[in-house]
Amino acid sequence: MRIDAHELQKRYHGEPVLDLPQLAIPAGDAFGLVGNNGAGKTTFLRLALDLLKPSQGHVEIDGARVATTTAWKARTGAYLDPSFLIDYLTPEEFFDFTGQVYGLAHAEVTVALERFAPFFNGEVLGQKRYLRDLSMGNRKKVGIVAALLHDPDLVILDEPFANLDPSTQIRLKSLLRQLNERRGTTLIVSSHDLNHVTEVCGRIAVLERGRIVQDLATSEATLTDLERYFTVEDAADLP
Amino acid sequence: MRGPLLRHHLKSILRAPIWSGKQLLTNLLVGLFVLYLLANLTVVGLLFDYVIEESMPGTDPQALLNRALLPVFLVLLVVRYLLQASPELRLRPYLHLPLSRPRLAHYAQLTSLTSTQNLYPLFFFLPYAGANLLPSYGPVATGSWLVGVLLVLLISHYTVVLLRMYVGVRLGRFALVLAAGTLLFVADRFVGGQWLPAFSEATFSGLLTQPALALIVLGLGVAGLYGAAYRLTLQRLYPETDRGLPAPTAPRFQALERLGLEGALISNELRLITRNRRPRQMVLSSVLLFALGLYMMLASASAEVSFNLAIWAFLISAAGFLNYGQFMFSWEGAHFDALLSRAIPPERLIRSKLYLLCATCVLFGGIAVPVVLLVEPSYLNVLLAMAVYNAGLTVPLVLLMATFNNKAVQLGGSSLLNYQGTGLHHFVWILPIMLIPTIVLAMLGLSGLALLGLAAFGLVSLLAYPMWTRFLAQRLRARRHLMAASFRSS
Repeated sequence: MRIDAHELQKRYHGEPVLDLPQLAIPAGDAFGLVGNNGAGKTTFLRLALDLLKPSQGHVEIDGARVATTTAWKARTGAYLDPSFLIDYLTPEEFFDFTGQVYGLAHAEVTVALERFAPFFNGEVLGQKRYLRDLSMGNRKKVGIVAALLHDPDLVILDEPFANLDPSTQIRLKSLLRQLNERRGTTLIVSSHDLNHVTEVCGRIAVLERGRIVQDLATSEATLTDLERYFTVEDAADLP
Repeated sequence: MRGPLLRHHLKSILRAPIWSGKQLLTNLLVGLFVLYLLANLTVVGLLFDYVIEESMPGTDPQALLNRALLPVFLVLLVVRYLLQASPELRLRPYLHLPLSRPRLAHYAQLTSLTSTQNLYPLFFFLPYAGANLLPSYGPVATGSWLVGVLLVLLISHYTVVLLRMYVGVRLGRFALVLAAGTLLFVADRFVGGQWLPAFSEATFSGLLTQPALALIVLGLGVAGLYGAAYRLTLQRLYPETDRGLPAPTAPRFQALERLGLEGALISNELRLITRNRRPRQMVLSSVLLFALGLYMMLASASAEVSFNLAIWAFLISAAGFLNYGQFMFSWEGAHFDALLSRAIPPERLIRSKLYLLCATCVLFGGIAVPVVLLVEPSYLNVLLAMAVYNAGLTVPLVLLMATFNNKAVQLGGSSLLNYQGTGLHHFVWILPIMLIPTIVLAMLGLSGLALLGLAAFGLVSLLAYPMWTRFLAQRLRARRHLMAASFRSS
């Protein structure tokens, strides 16, 4: 699925926190968003999911405006933060419900979950615990798997690697790469972790104060370039 | 998709943390207390006519109830405002899913009806109608009266839904609504306090005599409010971040900071209140408690009803700090280590908190003075005596209670139906603090001497603030490690 942002702006108290005159993410791209805190990464993801109203402009998914259509939702999977979870459900109940929303029968959900068993590492299913009682990392696993459960054509994840243990981070990277390369799933991933994002995404945009200041095709030099970009000059002077 | 959503709503009720085994004894006691109250309501409903005929001979019980219903519903709006949750809060996990937003908004409106605020009145009205109305008026009139009462309940429900969405946590809007309520009260007083009961009687008697007209009017009211609440919910389905709220209105309290360390600590406390939802809502609920106390005190028929008068007078000046003050250290639980590790002598920390709570007492008492002078000047002495007593003695006692708290209170989230960091003991502690002066004063009959004695008691304690400060600081010093460790683990 293709995403386009046209003259997209989000302002708070008159101050723009996101200003994207034009952004095109073609179908099948693995698009990474990096930037310091407050750069506008999550704001863009929320606007793309119609969770925020733009101050100006609009976002389109496959040519349809996200704010006025809903068909894109059936082919999109997203996890931004714990507000995407229903915390008084068990993981199994949450997956069943999510599957039902996307038209999957219970048996199909069960089969789909088997694929993610290594990702859960035996810590999520069958625990007889509500989502609110799981650790941050395990809640994140549930959110990510719920986003991927229905084999979406577009996956939007905000800081997917944060709070995950190293093994799960590696599994997630491999999972996302497979989805993108084998199924042609469009990925939009925001992350502070330059290592992970360069390994998963073929294209990386650097956001600074709401504007894209670099838009790079990932190569062997990208990680070094990004590290150089984010190196604060006076950091070298620190003891 | 409606089925799973309704099942989720049911699960959210059945799986609420209140049912967890962590506070089983507390919850059991609360449950028994609730059952007792419901049983009381049922008995009062069944025996209403008999009780009124026995206690107020010559009074028509039905007319009396009809006259009282709307004023009671209005007073209960305040309680509802505090306890009823905003329906759109439950919708966030569903917003990114392929579910129709209008349908979600309807779902929110309908499931919000399961609020306990809509259920407990039925424990009075159903037995009342069955035992007292049915034999005299027959099934049709009784049925229409009951449907009318249900419609008024729905009107209250959706009025509060609208108010909560409109007011939110914005102090300006809250003040506007409070001012409108006060204006209504003052207007009622100026016309002899009769128009509201008269309107109430016309409405509910109309349900017995001309049910069709009254039901149509009430039904249209419900439909209009439901539609407005639905539209507002639909508009609010874009969860803005905090950055999306209007420009921060929290003042910088610079003047306070010039008053030294105590001033800076008070300034921080005020920032804590204005910038965090839960303490902000607790302060708003204190303002409502103050307004309720003021209304009830002024509505007291005469000074002969001394207990009522004493307790409302107590609440007027104590409303601002009674609840908030109990958690004075727990509010800062998340950064208690930071407070302890800074060069802040416990005496100065305690002094800052004593000053803040005392200032709240003076502020609330001071606001009440002109209103009492305007409406019922004879009650001023009770109000002032209680205010001096509260400032002198209740404030340090509440702060003493705060040093017993071992749980940090989370600042985020709503304070409504949020019992994190609180327990039954907080309610129990308050009772002796509130009831002892009230009962003593009521027993002494609110005489001038009794009021003078109460005020003198408060004044002596006020002058002993340095001693209180040393005592409370000593206590804080002794408990600091236990409190810090408990705050960290809660």
